[in-house]
Amino acid sequence: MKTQEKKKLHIFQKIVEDKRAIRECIQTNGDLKKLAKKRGIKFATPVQYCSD
Amino acid sequence: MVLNSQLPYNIVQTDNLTYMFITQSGVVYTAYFIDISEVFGANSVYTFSFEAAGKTVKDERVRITIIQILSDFFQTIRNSLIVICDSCDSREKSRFKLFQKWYEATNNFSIEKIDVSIDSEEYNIRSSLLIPKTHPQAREIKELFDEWTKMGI
Repeated sequence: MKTQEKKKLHIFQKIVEDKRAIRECIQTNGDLKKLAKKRGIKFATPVQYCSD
Repeated sequence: MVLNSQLPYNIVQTDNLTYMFITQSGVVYTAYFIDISEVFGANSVYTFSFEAAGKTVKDERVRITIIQILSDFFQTIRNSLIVICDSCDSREKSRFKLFQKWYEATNNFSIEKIDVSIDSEEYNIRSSLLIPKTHPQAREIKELFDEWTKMGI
């Protein structure tokens, strides 16, 4: 419960921090998969387009 | 007749993680959704953003392409989107304005948009919840969003 409360308090902060990390990763041509694993980011593709 | 300059760029999915498109001037854009349903407390809740690798130039087709992605996203009425812009970065401010413009330009009154600001010592956040008015859990999601906002950071 305590963890849940802590998570709730920081949801917007987590999103902002994740976005900053993603920005840096993209701009330095880093590995987004590794970053996602490290930070627990759940990338999603809710819209379907052709794969590269 | 639709001119090329009015068309979105070709969007491709990369490794089931993100979307990518390349502009006429060769700038590579990565657009992405993050599924935040679990932490948020409701199904099909995402956050969205995009980044350019390299120096950007003003390009109307970038806006059109982002609008295309978001319009496709809202084809599913159970999807909702939380856009969060951290105002410590001036480009984030521009993105927030872009989302505002997108909402106004689409004239899509089937999507409700709720704006909030959350300020703390470390963060000045502007956020919007975008949710289809016909979303079956619209009320619950709006209440949750309100709760998150009141909690602050």
